[in-house]
Amino acid sequence: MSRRIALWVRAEAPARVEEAMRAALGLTLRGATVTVAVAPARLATALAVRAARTLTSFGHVVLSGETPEVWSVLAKGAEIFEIWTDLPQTPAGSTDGSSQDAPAGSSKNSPKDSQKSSPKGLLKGSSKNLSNASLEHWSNDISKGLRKRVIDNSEKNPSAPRPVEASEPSAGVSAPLEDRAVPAAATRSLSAPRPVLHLVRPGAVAPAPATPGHPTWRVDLSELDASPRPGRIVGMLTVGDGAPVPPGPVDAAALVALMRGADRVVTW
Amino acid sequence: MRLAVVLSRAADLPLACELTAAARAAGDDVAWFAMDEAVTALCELPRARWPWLEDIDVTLCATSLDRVGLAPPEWSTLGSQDDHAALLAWATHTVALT
Repeated sequence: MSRRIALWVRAEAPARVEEAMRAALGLTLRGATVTVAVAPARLATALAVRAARTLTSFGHVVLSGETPEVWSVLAKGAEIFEIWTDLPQTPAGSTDGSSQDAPAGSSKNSPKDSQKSSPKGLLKGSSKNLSNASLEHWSNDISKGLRKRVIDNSEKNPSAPRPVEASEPSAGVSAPLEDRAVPAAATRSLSAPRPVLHLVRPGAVAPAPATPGHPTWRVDLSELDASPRPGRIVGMLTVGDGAPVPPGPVDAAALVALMRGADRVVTW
Repeated sequence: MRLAVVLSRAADLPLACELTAAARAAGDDVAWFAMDEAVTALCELPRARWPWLEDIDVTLCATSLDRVGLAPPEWSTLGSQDDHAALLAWATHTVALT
């Protein structure tokens, strides 16, 4: 089944933007429809530009913009969201996450259970080989051929998110905006929309967006150290009308229950 | 539920671990794809604290790993963005900690 995936590149560090664009391109390899929102100024490296151009040459969408309107376009029908942010600042002399701990003595590794459900094997074998030479070729073509359509769209609706313009140094271009909203997912029921679960990481600036037609649940995530503890609080459910757990602190089990009840999960 | 966890930041690793442990306890299938800074954190992860790591599919982006010059842990698999795409195609639910 073809997925509809939306990426919003909110990172500013060129390396992170590159990584996000590389991921966006890679996500097309299994037939997904990909929509990316990224400010042109953030496409600051050749690799990022080339990825944007390649995406558009494959018929995917690269939007320009930072505004809430970007969300409304991205949210239309996308099943999966990747919000790419910068790496958090780490105080000098310390590391974050579980990397604080030196690896424990490596015990003998047992083979994985070959019977368990897994993406491995089931989905292998259809990757494309994208050579640098062919990418360069496509990006040149697309920057010339689609420029006019980009300009036309900007004139129709100047306040809307617009595709990255081919005339900009960091150009990646795409189809007109009205064609570019991600189509509604075929597998979702229109009669009983399930909530969209927003997970807001510590310090994240979340636009608290609503998804048209879907209730919103929101969990403000806690800062977690690397020590696992059963039942520890991982966040606070602040918006959860109809949720399977009451508003307030949630542990990981409750968070999994929220995920199961949600249509999609967006991590800010 | 088939849960895909996409990781690119080391800071999100504790949450990914908590979520995975809880999902597995509830009978769900979980698989990870890690890239960028997260591969370094995973290489340094004390497996003793997360014994279930060898029971789930953890794929590390080979490009990211090559950049930092680390060897992948025994319980992980080297992969590419194609595996990222495959993971999202497989999953019914995705948490992108990117």
